[in-house]
Amino acid sequence: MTAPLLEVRDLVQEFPVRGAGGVRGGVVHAVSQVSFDVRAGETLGVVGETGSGKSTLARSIVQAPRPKSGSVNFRGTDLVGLRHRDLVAARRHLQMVFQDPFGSLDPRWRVAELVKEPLVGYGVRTGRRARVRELLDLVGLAPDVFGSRRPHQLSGGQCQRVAIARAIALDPALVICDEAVSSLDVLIQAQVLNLFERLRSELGLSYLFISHDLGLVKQVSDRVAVLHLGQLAEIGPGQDLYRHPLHPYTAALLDSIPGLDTRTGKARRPRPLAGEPPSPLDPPSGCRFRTRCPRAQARCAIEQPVLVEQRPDHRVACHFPLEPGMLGERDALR
Amino acid sequence: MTGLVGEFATPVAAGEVAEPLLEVTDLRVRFRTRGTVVHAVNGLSYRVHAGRMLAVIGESGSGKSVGSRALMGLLPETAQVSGSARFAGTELIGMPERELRARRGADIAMVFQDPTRSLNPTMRIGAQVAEAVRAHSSLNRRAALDKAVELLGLVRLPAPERRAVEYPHQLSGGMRQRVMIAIALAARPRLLVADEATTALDVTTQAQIMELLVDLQERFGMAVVLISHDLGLAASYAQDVLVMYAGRAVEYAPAQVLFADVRMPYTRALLGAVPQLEREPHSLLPVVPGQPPDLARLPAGCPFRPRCTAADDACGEAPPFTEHEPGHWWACWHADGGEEAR
Repeated sequence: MTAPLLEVRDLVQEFPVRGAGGVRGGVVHAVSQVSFDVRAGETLGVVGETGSGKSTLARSIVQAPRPKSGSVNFRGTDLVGLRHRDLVAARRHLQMVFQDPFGSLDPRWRVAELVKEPLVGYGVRTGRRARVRELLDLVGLAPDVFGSRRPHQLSGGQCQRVAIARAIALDPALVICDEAVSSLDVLIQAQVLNLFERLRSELGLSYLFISHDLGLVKQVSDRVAVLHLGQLAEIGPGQDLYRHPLHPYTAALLDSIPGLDTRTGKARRPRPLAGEPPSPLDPPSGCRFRTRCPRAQARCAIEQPVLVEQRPDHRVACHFPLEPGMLGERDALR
Repeated sequence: MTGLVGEFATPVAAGEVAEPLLEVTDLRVRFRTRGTVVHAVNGLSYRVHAGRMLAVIGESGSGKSVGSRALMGLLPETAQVSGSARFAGTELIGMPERELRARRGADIAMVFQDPTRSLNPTMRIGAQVAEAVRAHSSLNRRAALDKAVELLGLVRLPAPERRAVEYPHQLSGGMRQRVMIAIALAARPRLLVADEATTALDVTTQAQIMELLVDLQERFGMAVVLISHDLGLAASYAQDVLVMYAGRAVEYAPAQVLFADVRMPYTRALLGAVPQLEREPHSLLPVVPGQPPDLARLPAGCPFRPRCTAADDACGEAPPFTEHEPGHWWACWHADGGEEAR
């Protein structure tokens, strides 16, 4: 097997916070000992709720800011500890698309200039004008119509296309999408999702696709990682993970999605999880899900579970993982 | 011509006999700004019944929020509202602000998307709920505070006595939304409008808040209008569903009828665009080209025409929104397929 494109090992990111009046201190454990790979050509989805550390994870990978510890091996180079100049060079192949399409574009610039900027920044001297046209075509914006527009003259979906054109301008190997379609209406979201798929097959891109939306992540991902309070709860092939979740938290997430089986027209009524999510400032001892977990036992408070391969290529961090047989009801629904 | 034909008629769900709690007829809202007129709501009619949940589904700019705010007089001065909205027999449109203010909260209450912006960060939770209690009753401060704690318990805020003396920033997003619901319930409204009330919440918290709304609806016979962009949410919780596009109702039916037999191509497109857990990874979504129309320059005829695969010359005239099958309303010339929605 060839080496993975991105190898994240024991990544830790923590932020000190000050309490009221600046007296009492604390540390937000945003990302704790997270390890995973993104293989060449695959899309790895990352799902997690607010405060699960999914955005911090993305930013730690691109070293903005640099993680507290751990390693991020991208195409054979560890980005952690790289000198700034080398890091900038490495990031050429590692691009990000963010949630807010307006906020990530300078409102004074024209679309053509916005798309040209990464080419200028990385010293591409020749054929820039043609490349900008090619990129705009690629993301479905007619260069003659949109090239001279400014961001405020674009819709949210069009802005996101510009952001994508910028991200792919330098032929990256990996694009990190952080809630990249979350602010778009569903019909526009479908257009942009299809664009991501088309670019994947045409340019051989790999994605790290981060979202809170489980349906969305299932749609685009080969493998899916479930993040809970800064830790990896489960990672495995998308199909297997959604059909046979091993971690009770994954199962709870899946049970919370309202929805409709479009084949039968029947609605899925969510079964809510009890309790409030714990604070990342003061995560529970042992397994961080144990305070809300229906399967928790004494051991879960003492011993922190580590990721173990339970099914082929499918790992879970749980002392009492679910077994496929227990989920007959869910199988019937999905 | 924006298509008046038949829009004065109002949908009635199959087998209904009771008087509707809220009856909206041909509601129109336009905003006049700098020479342009934005047609936000264009002849909207629907009914809401006690003890039922109506989901109003639409994308940004479909008029789903503007339509409900118009009823409560919550639109800016630039808005011109016409049409009728009768709540338990009383006309709300054109009602003087003073009267309307007394009715807001008492008859109809609203919960919005962002609880952080609706709550006062410098006031304790209990005091904020008590303020709403006192606005609609003659209780003294002490009694109102007791009532506030009772309401916080009702919305299942954990440890309500303790939480009542905390500030909004000490609560999670889900807890804050529970506080907003407690405030909305202060005067025991007969209709609760939840405008994207769970959109900002995590999926597990959303499920909890929705269970709470359903429970309140059943216990107090309250009517709920759930304004959302999420068809899945509508399918899971609502009894009736109204789909809006470009300020108009395009399809309406009891949820079970609608999702078993989607008729309007726009509704079908919405359903098709939602990523489904059943689909294979990397499968392409059926795509609807283009964008919703500019509400300042609405095209003649059916507003979905430029994006619709079924569109032809007939669509140059706006299709009326009528009851084609018992309880099932739609506005489309080409909805005769009746095929399985995909």
